[in-house]
Amino acid sequence: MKVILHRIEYALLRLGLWWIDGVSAQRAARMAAVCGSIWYRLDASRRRTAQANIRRSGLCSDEAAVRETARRSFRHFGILAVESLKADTVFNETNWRDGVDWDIDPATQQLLDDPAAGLILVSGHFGNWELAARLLAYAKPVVAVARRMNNPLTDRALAARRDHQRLTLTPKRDANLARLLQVVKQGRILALLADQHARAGGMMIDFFGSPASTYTSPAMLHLVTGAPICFGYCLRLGPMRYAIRLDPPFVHRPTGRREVDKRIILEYLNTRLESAIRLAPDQYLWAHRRWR
Amino acid sequence: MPCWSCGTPSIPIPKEPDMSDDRNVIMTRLRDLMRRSGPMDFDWDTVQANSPIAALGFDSLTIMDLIYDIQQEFGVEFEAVDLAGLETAGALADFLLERQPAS
Repeated sequence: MKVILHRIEYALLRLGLWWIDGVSAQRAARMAAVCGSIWYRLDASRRRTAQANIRRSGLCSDEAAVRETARRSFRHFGILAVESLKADTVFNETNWRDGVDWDIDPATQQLLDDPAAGLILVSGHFGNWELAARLLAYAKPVVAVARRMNNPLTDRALAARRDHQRLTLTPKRDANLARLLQVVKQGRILALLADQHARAGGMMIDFFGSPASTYTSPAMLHLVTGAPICFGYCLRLGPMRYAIRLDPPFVHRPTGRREVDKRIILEYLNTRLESAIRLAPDQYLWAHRRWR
Repeated sequence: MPCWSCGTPSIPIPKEPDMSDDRNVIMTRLRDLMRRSGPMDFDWDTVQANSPIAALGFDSLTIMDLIYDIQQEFGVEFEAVDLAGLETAGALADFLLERQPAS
């Protein structure tokens, strides 16, 4: 049964990709927004999760605003999926700086320009993180740790689309520590999304004022390699128009108190992510159960 | 006691530093660090030089805790990536022994 469902899902994906490839980016994004709205209406469980998370964050003053932000968040997710898939038809080696408002701290820019300097780039499920990794890969090779899809057929098809000479995806489950350490040593960008619920292995760090189990790997990778850690995000401004912001490099020298060091770094990262989300709450993936 | 062949008083000869003693000291320190960062239900006293690190129950997060603790405890400079490739507790002890400052 599972195999049949996977094949149906895969067939629908191929059909969707064929359609996306045949229309303009604007038209595809409009249709994706409609699909996002339909998803919001149909998926009651995720809708409730998104609304509860937005309420808990305290970003909206009333219930109408909570519902509207949740609905727009679903629409945004549809748009980001389509625009990420269209990225190759819009951006290439020569024009990747166009259509993007780059705001990179000078010290971070130096790290990007230095082929020997590794960098740990941390972001969240905000704006268009997929596109950010693709575009930054033109500046410096990127290895992104990503979760594998449950359906191996769709996973392979999408991985092939995302494949990029300078962007490598490493499935989270297979992320070998030595390989991740090599990425930084070889002067590449190790890109991590650090805002998912980390279960029992995480550290409880405040996110919008409520403790959330947070992955400690960005902090530990920074502490053991000494490679600068940098928070960044990619805000959507309009159809295929984005602003990419990269903070100054953050460096925290180990003090010998491991758990304290981790906490300092993770609190910094969560605070920076909160600030980014406050700019455009509807561009955050609220449907994920961050607080459990 | 005088020398048995010439009768002159003997001078105590300093003992050569014993590499295996140093290695044992490092192994003991490593066991303590592993106890701190590894799984709680593991009997760390059973860790021997030939124990494979992969069999000690560390996951990708706790192994980074161990690397951090080793860096702090031994205070020697090394690339974290060099540690990640070592296979046994003894290889880890030798790695650290080679990097110990000469006393």
